[in-house]
Amino acid sequence: MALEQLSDVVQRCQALSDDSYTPEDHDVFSVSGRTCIEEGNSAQVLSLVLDEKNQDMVRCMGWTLLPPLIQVLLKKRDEKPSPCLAIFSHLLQTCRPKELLIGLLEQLEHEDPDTIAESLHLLLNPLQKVLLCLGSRKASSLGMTLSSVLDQLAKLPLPHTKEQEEDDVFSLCRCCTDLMAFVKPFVHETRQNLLSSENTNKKAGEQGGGRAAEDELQTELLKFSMKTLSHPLLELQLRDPDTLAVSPLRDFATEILNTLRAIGESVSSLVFQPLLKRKQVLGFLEEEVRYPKESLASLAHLVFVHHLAADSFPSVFSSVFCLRCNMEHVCLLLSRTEESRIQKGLELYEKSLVRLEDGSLPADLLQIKTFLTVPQNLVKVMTMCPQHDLRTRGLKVLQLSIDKFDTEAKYNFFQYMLKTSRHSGVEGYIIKNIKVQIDAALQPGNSNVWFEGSQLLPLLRKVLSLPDGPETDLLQYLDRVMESLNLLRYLVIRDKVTDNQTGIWTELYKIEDTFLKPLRVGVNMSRAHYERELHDTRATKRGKAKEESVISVSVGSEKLPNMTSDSQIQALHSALHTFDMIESVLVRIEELTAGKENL
Amino acid sequence: MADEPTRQWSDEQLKSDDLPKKDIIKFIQDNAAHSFLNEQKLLGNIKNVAKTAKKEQLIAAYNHLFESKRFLGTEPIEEVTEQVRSVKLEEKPKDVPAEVVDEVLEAGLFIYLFIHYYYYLFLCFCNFLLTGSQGPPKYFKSVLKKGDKENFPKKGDNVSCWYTGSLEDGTVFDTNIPTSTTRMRPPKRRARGSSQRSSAVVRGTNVPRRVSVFGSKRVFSLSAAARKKKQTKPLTFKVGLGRVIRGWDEGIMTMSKGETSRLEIEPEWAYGRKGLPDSKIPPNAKLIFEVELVAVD
Repeated sequence: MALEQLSDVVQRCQALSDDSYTPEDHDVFSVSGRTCIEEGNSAQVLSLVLDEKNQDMVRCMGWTLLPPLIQVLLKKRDEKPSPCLAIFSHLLQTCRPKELLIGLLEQLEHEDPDTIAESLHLLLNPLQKVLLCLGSRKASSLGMTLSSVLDQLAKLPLPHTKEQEEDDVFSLCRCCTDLMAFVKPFVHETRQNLLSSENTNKKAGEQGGGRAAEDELQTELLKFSMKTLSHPLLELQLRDPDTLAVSPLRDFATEILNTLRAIGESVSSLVFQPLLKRKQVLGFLEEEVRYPKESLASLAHLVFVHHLAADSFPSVFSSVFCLRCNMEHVCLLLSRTEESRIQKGLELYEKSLVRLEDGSLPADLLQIKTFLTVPQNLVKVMTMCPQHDLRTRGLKVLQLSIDKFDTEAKYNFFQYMLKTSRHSGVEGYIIKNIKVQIDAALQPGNSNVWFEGSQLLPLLRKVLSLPDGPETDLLQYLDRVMESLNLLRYLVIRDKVTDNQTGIWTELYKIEDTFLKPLRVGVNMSRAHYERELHDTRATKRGKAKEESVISVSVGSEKLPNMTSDSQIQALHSALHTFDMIESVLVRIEELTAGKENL
Repeated sequence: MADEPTRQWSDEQLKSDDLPKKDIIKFIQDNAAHSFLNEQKLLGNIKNVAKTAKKEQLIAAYNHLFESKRFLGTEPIEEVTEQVRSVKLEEKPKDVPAEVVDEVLEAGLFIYLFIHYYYYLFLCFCNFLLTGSQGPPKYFKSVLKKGDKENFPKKGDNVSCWYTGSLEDGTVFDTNIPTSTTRMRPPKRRARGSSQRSSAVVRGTNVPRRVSVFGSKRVFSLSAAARKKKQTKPLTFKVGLGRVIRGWDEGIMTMSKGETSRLEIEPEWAYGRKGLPDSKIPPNAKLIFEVELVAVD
């Protein structure tokens, strides 16, 4: 039935010229054509389409057959080349590019990953051919296509392990490879345009060093590259050549960098962009839109951590300058919560730091905002990130960054962290670092003004203090309190009364008042309180009276069971043990300072 | 000591008018101790003494001398100094004393040294201001092609360069000059094991501006047209701001536009003890750059 309708309309239109086709003709053609194809009569459709007499009609209306054709091709992808494929090829050659483009793009959109992957594989090549036929007006169409393709690509699951990348179950790798092949001729064209425009500029005489208004094609390719840097590249874990010799994803990343270079963007300028004031380019996009910060951060990571395009990256920039620029990228990455971002931020930070010698960074770097924001972000990562590996790594990177500062910078940094980190564990860690620095300063020949003498005292005063006086919650602030006590004990042992290099002996009477005395009071109070609690809990347990707790804790909408009495008793014991620990150090300090205070 | 003098005249002779006062004075001055003369007021010019002293006084002094035996030589030191002093004063009344001359000379020398010392300190200070506190420069520059000697980059200026960087053993680790093996006659084969640098000039229709050879790896620069075809641009950056390694910052600021120079940079002013991890630059590497300063903003 449909076949007859199709034959009819085709015959009828043979006699007409193409501007006298009625909308009805269009409709009949497309509906009947579709039905034929779906019903499997594609061979007949093929012969109709190939017929010489029908070419005008095919050129005009043929594109409406694309949807059913593509659907059939996608479904029957394992079968041998069918007439559908032949129809498809013919249509691509005959119909008008603009209309073909619409038809093809429509068919890119799918929901399930398999179909997406297959449609990309099928359609990228035809799309490329169609776009190349558009001549000098292809830029916006290319942009539209690339945008659509990337949207679809974003729906594909990403491989997380090396094996997953090798297996490529969801064909992401294949799609990326196809995508690179797709983009190639346009990149080449842009490169040629650039060269010729540079030549004409040179011939006409330099005009103030500025470029002519930018090529639209260039803009679209730039948009594309920037977008891929964000997704999928920022999400992916690239493998190095020794881990995975052949990696389509790594090749993809390398190609993106090459594309950037080909379209006239210098990779080093992009990476250092946060610190460079670029000249206003006569382009179509605003600076921030043109170079999204996240994409630049991704680029920096590819260059510094994976060493892609290393051969073309100049080896003349100073390591401090690289650090300063990368701090901007690291700041952005660490301020996010996604695991992939945080990991890349940490990697980039680490790679930038290992280039520097220990103790080489001067204190004036701490005037730069990112040098203060990044440690704060690190603290967040160390204390709140769910992944244990990232927390550990964050701590490692923090220590690495401390090691690179010179003594004055360390001093200022410690002060800053004590003031702002608001976390007992972090404060304790910083205090431990202070101890290390004081120890270093007391070594013969290493003397410095920051961790000895009068400069040290303000820092010591901050360290040897209780946040809330005698009422300080010693369990909450345990890390900090223990480190402070350890430091004090270390000082009274290491720094002889007669030398008093650190000034501790002259300060001791003050510290006694502001720190040691309130601490003793606090310990006693806390101990009394917890002993009381222990006693009550034991009594409750014996009496087996069920107590309704005042608060409940729920995780993921599931209420956690109340602590059993045994667990409670255990917790209370451990608290009491902690107070014992604190007290033992206090006593030791008292022993060491007995009689020596009044010097 | 000398023998004691004897009386030359008797009392009658002394009182006689034939004996002038001068002779008595002279005798006493020649034979008496200085302190005796001083007491008797017989010091000084004979004529003057003769005017002031009466003959009776002189006779008395003469006799007193022999009685007290305070002859010349009995009080030696004082005498000598007095004599010297009195001689001096008498014989050179108008000259500046040598001590004063010495003092003036000493003062002059002191001022001279003073000025020079503080000038030296001033120069050190200027050097410090200009070059920082790091001591002598840690790079060496040799000019291969002179520039215009007028346009020198200042701190913060945008500069553009073509460059090639290699290690001491000749390995090229970086360049922004595109390589090409077409359009060039291949250079003569070199003996194996030879690692000397040489500058080979290749003649042909496409004469390159410069050819430099580094050890085992050869890098050729291209003519302007060939460069354009390869679409590479000179490296552009702001000089003097610590964005590049210190050897470059310092070295390029001494170059003028159009100059090509060879910069040999010690590791302290390059990548130091760490080198560039994961790259061709090892730790403690001395770097050798051939830089052509193309443009100064």
